[in-house]
Amino acid sequence: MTQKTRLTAQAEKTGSVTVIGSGIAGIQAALDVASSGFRVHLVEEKANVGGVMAQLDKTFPTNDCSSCMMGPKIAKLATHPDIEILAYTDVLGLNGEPGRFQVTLKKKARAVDPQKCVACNICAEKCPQKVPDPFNMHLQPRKAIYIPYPQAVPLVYTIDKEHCIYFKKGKCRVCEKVCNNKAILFDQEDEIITLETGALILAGGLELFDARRKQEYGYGRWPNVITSLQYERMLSAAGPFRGRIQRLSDGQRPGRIAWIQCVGSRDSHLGNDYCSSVCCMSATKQAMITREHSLDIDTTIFFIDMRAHGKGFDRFYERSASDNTVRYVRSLISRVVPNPEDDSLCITYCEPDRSLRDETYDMVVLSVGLCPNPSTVQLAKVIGVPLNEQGFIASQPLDIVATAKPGVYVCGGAQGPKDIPDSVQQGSSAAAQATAVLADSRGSLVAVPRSLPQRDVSAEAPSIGVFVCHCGVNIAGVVDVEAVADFARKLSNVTYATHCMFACSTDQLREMQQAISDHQLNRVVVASCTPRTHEPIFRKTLQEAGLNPYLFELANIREHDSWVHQAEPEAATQKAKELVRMSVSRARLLEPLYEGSYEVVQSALVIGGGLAGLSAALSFAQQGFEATLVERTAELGGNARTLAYTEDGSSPARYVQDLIEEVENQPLITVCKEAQVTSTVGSCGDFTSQIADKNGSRSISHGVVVVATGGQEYKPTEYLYGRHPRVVTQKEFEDLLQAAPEKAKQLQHVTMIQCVGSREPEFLYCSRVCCTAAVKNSLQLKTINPDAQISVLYRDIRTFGFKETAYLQARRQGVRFYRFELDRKPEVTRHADTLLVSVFDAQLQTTVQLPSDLVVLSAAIRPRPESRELAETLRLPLDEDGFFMEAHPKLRPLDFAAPGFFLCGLAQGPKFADESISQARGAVSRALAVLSRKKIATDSMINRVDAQLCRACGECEKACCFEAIKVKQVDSGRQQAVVTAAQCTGCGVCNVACPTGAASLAHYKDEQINRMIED
Amino acid sequence: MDPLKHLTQKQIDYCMECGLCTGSCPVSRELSNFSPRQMIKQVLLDLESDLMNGREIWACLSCAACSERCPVEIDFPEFISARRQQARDAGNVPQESHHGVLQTIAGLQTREVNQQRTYWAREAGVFADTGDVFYFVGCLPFFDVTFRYLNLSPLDTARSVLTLLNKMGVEPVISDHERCCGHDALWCGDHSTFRRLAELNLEVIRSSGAKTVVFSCPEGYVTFKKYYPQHVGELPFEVLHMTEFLSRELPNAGVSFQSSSNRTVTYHDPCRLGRLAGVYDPPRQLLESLPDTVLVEMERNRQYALCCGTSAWMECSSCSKAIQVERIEEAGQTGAQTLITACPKCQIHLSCARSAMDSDIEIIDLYAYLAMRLTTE
Amino acid sequence: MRCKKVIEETREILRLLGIDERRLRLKWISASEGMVFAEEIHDFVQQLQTLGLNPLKTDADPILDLPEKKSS
Repeated sequence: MTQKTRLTAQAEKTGSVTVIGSGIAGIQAALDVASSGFRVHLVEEKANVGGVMAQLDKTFPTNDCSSCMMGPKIAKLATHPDIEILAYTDVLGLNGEPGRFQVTLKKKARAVDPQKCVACNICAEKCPQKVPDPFNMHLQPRKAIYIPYPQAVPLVYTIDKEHCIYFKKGKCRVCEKVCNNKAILFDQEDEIITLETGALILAGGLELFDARRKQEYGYGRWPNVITSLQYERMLSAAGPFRGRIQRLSDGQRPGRIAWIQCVGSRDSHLGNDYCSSVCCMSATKQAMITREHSLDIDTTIFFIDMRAHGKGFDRFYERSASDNTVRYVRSLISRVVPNPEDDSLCITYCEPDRSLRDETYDMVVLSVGLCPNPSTVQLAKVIGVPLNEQGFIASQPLDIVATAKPGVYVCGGAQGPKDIPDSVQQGSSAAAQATAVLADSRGSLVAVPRSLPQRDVSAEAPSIGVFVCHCGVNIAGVVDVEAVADFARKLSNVTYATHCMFACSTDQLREMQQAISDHQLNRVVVASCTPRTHEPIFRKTLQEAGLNPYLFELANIREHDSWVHQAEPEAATQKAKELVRMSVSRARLLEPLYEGSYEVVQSALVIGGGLAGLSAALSFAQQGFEATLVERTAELGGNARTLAYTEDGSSPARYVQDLIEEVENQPLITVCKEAQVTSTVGSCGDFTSQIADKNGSRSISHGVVVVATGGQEYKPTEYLYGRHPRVVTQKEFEDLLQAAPEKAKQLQHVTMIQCVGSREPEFLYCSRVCCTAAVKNSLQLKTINPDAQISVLYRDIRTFGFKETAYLQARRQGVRFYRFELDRKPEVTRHADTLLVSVFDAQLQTTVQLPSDLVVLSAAIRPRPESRELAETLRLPLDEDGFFMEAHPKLRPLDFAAPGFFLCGLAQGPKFADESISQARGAVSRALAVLSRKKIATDSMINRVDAQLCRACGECEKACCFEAIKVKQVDSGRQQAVVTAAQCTGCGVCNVACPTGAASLAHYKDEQINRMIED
Repeated sequence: MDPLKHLTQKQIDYCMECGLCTGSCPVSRELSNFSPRQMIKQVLLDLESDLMNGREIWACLSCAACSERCPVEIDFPEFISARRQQARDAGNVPQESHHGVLQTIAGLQTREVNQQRTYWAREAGVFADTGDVFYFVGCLPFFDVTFRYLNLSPLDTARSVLTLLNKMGVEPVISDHERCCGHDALWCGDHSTFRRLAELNLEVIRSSGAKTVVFSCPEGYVTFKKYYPQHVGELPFEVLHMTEFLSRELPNAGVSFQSSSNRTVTYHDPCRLGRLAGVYDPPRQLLESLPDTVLVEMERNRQYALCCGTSAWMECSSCSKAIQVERIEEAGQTGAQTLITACPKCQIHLSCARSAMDSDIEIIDLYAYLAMRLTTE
Repeated sequence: MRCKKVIEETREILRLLGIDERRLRLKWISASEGMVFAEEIHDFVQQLQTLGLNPLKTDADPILDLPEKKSS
């Protein structure tokens, strides 16, 4: 339902964004756009959402389970009232202009009616046609009618027409016969629709490099050579082998597995010059998990450079080598030779001493490169969005998510190979950019929540209805559902008990509402699947029947019973009865709960006036919100002022000057220079901060905080820096190249040393930008003085992604690269009036002497010391290296754990200028979820304090990690613990800490839980 | 004999509605709808449903301040205790503090537990399995774990007692098999648990051969002395409070005490030792026998002492806190450096409240204080 | 952390009461470690079977029937 909130005439921008592609980037973009007041059409060409991330087992560097992380995001996506998921839909064309596009879509026919399908799986069970399953990377078959995995969204089956017997030969139709709900519609037709939309975000994602193109590795010919994604499915407990690692040839466990990196990346021969960014870490992760699985599987990774350039990656990599004893061999493989007797594989590689070694492996995993999704490439051509040299959607300089076509943005894999945190950040960034254009139309197309009357049940005795679900055969195949319903009927206060095929189906929900009305039920217990899937639906059903949604209780007799006790039906039935009994005991004591709300202060505080801070402030203003920008020094611009050029030809120094001008002229932004934030109190949406400058201190109210306090270059103490004029840092070298090219022209021998102050035991992180900086500055020197001899001493060259091409260029222009290892670092000594650098080259295994006119040190990026002070003032966490710590390194890189706080830029970790800018907008996008609302509803399942029982002892305050409960003076003058509803997450720790029982968690009161156990 | 009937006829009928009880009651001052006078009247007129179903029945501290003043000597604590048994049977239970852990422990002790609770004694002194004198330690080992978070060590009381006894040449029996005396169960209307605990404790003492049982805890003392005989018959041994034992034996035992900078003290009479058991002088004699020590009485002392605010590990609340704060302020007004308590619960409750207050006064247990003042050799 | 502290204190109380503290177990298991959970529970149940019925149990307690000892 739409509702226009403005009365202006026409020529208004459409308040919606269309996101094309539902991988993690598209999902993040969709969620952010929808949370900030716009409608989203999420278009996905496959039958269900999720992209590549849904296929992963674990993710680096935390080794969290991929589907566990995606699950909540996808659940939010599926139930969001303002997101329309258009799965199994192609994009045909785009017309119009930014703010008023028309996008033409083809909704492909699944041959299944989404309204009727309840995903019972009977059709797939009976379907006779097997097909190699692309979701499981062809390791196992699926049926012609399918769903990729049981939790897929949308939860609708699809007929693969290319393989379906009926569609090919006109016979079969078994699925139609067995479907109880008449959901199969063979003559369903494709539907062409045109949507009005304000902006487009391309998030079409990636495809894997076809490993068959590297014939020498034998993929597709030799059974035990598999791709990284196939191995990923193998590792997954939900995959074809239930997490059991086995060779495809004979099902035996492999004793030795080898990974070959860079298959299809960094390969000019194949035309894929670029680096795929993630495979080094992915292989490390896979090897680590393999070792955790079983120490009798040896793992070896054959690589060129170990690219661990993200936050936490170097530690992850070091850990894999030390704790898990993954073996790393710095040698790429020319070919894999099969041993036909036992299908093992022989690999030859060269050692540092130049000898060749043969090794036999039971399995070889190819870390294949990432290529652009062909349908995205096709779409780009159709709608006129240019691609870059590598075939991905081309970004604008310093604006990663903008394409050359106004109103069309890009994020995630479609922009270039990248890992999950970068995809998520870009998704948020694209959301901010796309909606900035549409700011005036915020709220025009969002659904207005209906208010439903509620019956007051406080005077009634509990009257419980129990609905036991068959879930097709998922439950009923093991549990005697009728017996459970009979048992439930005998429990006291149970007025009505029944069993049904699918409690979640639309008609069953209607019957439930009817039963509520007929029997005047005031509590409902459903015994079915996990609350994660359908609890919101059931609660909504109760609401629509006039009952408070919290009078609902769900007994999980599927995941907790039928699915795990399949071999013991009698015991499972008994357990189901016990679970239902517990739920009924609790249901008797459930009380209605109501959500509160409070008003949001719709303005932002941005701390730090560098590239990230300025971009964030401007982005807020573009969205129509006021921002206060606080900068500690007298000048805005930060590090960017002296960053003259990037490796792809942009000039952050010029860009930031323009940006400063825009910010200073922007009426919605208040700039405070030489100022600091001295305190912040309040909660998300309602903060009050003190800003102190030389004129004194004043307080401001704001709804959100963005931390953008930046970083700085490490001033080395090693390699004679500070003691010899010819030893400089990269930044100083850049200044020299810009300001005094004549001097630069005279340089004959320049030696650069990488990783100065990074990747050391006390600073075990990579500063991300230095390899690219070295390459960039080498190329710059070469343009000034083509005869200069440049040597770069490195440990790994980490020019990831498209930056790899700059590395290639540098080598082509004669820049020399010498590799050294941590335990044998180069030495810099005085030599007449110049310097001598000697390095033990690890490949040549000899010492190389490099007389040098100039030694350039690639010094680390450190967090600012002021970050620590700010962290204490705002009570925000820092990681072990002193950078600010985000809520979750993979899925929430721009949020702090404390609601209402966001971060971006170097304060979060080393990054490039365009990444800082993109992150800043991403942080704004995240903040908009708060700022775009006038009110925030507070969760109702939070802690309550009984005023009489509370002794104000403060134990709750000590225990709470969300600062949600504090002892304060209340109206009567007494001290009492008070809950800040906005901060309370309903975890219940305060209940444990409270000695008198004053703190009790609504919906999870002690009595409610105790009765479940005691009854 | 049905205690309820007995009470109803004798105790309640005598009430003349004078209001002295409610006027003396510390709880009534904080909770406006708590009134001992009204509760008596309700029962008199058979209007009991409010009493049986409400929270007020649990709010009483059984401190006996009301009974102390009542002109017709109505034993209000007895009245409440009997009513609570009825209420519990009807399903009305109190809000147990500390998640009910102390009640759970006492409940488990009614079963065949094989306790290991004398480890502290092995390190603190000498004791035996059989002998004439039985030191009934009570719940101190459990309090020591549960109230660690308040920076208290309740077992210091027991250690101090053992040290003092040893110094007097006494090697008491200390048993692993002691149960909770049952005080809390009795006062919370759980008479079946109480009876079982009493039976088990009698068995433990009998098999030790002890003729005298000494208590450092006032609740244990008064429960054995007054209430065990009511429920399980005459006791075959002498029941003494440690202050009685010490003030009787200490002067002749050749134990000497030394001066201390910590010399000005005030003393808090526990309800169970004072009003309920009538022991006021022995603790004072002990304190005054210390060299160079000044005892300054609080305004409300002896039978007028203010209760420490919480009873039987239930219904701890803002009301309890307010009473505790008042008592500590009263102690502060004496000018004493130290407040001496003679009951582990008084010490715990007052210390808990003091930690949230701006008060300098130290709260020390009587026995720990005595042990502290022993001459060092 | 708080949980660890509370569990430690509970263990002390169990020791005082003479209840075998192996009857209390603390293990952190993430939602994705289903196998770990199942194995831990099996292991715990086996240990409890070895320790035998709780000697403090009375007839008044609700019964939680332990499953038959598996032969594996």
